Amino acid sequence: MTQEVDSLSESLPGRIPSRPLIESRQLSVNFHQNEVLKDVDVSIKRGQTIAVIGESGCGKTVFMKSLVGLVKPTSGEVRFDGRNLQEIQFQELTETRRRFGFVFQNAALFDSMSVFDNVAFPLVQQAVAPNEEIEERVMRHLAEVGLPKEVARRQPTQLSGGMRKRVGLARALILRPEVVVYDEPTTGLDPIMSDVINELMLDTRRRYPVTSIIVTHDMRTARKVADRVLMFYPRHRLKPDDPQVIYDGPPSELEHAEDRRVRQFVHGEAGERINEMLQAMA
Amino acid sequence: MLSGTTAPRPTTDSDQNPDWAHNSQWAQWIVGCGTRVVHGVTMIGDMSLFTWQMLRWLMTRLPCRGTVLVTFYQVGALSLPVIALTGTFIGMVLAVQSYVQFHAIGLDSHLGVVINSTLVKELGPVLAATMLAGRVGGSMAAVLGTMRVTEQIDALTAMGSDPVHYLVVPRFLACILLIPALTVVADFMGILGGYCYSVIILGIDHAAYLSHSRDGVALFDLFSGVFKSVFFGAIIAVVSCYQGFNCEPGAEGVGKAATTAFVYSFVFILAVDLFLTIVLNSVYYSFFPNDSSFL
Repeated sequence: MTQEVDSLSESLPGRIPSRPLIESRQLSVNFHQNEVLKDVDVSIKRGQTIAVIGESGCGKTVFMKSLVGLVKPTSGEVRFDGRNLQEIQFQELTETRRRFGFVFQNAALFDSMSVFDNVAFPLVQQAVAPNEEIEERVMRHLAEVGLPKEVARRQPTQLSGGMRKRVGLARALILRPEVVVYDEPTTGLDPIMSDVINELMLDTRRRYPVTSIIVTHDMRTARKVADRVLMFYPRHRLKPDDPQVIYDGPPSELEHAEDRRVRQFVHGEAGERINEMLQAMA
Repeated sequence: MLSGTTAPRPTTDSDQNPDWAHNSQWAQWIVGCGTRVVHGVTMIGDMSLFTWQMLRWLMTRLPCRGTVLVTFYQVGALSLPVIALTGTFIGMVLAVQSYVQFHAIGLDSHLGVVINSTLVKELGPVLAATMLAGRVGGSMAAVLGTMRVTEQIDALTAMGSDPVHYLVVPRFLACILLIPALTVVADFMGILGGYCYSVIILGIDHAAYLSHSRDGVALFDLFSGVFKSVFFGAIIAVVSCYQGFNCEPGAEGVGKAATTAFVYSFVFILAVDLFLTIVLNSVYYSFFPNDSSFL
């Protein structure tokens, strides 16, 4: 009954959905003795574009992988569309994962396949379309990310970093996902190609009704593409009861955040870290 | 190996026990041993779960034909030349090594008995398995390890495919179904190599050689060799895929996975070989208690 009411309210124009699409509750992840995430509470509504920022090792990639069920929480839960990912059966988890499109940091293209086969892979695995439709959809998605037809025949090793990311984006979008997750989409790219990727993310949002989660270090991407920013802080630098998400708000407010650590990150200032390094060396 | 520490240790309650203070090196050694034991038990448990997951997929849904055929080609067809070649050389080496002793007691024409029997019962299966562990097992661990490091395995999961079903099941099928054929090839080429060397180089009469050789190998010998090879194939696939899936980051991690896959496979193959040989011997003599040809 509750689900019916929720889906009704989501379908009515102008209404804000009552239930978040993705939600983490008291999410904690440890790797052996290393505490990466602790008690992270985040809810993401349908249609939002969220940038997850923070310094290296703060747990943003682990957080993102937890949302898709690639990393199992040590405690707490992740809910997608109201369902706890830890409680659902394997088949349902697989179905849920297909509602996500994942763009990996280095694209994670399969080396043994051509670009065409990489992009077609999710369709072939699910056998959801005849061969002619698969070919049409692959070529259309490659064109949408600005890649010429000839690229389809190439192997991933023959592509540049920017091309690989665009192929990764085409593969992530081929199943028309509800959520697209980008893991550091502009890392390692030149400024021009970084902006191309930013524009593609914006274009994807305009073209499809997707919810986007972007894990990035790049403040330009966060400002240009996101409508909400979450900043994570490394667990080992916090006191036991400190919250790990130290900023949750619009990108326009980042510059004026009350928390000094947020401003320091946004401006790229080392601050006290230099002294810490010197002390460690001494 | 004991490793002592010279750095001062913070005082704790246990320091009140003088034995502890004097035996800290032993304590560290025991801790080290315990850690290794825990690590070993964890790995065996992990590997068992991994095998169970793979067997469950094997029983519920087979991978698509295209994936299986490519893997069969890589495991079977590409291993054929090297296994045939090494089999031939092993047969020849056996002839060289045994000739002196057999010649001394005037039993040159019986050389084929020992060559063929050794090859069919032991060397053929173990040699084929060793070559497969080196050529295919190492490659599997390296490929899967690279896929783990470059997030390709995560990508499979994220796209709703199961990596064990897509990557491990075809490799397991290829190893267990093709290793019997590769073993027979190794046996045949070894027998041929031994025959050629004995007859052409050592000048043994070929009719006498063939006549004695035929008596030395029973059908059960061939069966036991081929039967054991299926287990060797399973070991190679499971150990190599497990090492690849649990590869540590970086180029060093991939290299380590490939090396560990070969070493562990080889050790497991020899251990299982011993166990199966004992079991098969017991089975044989329970059916044919008075037969001495199996010896």
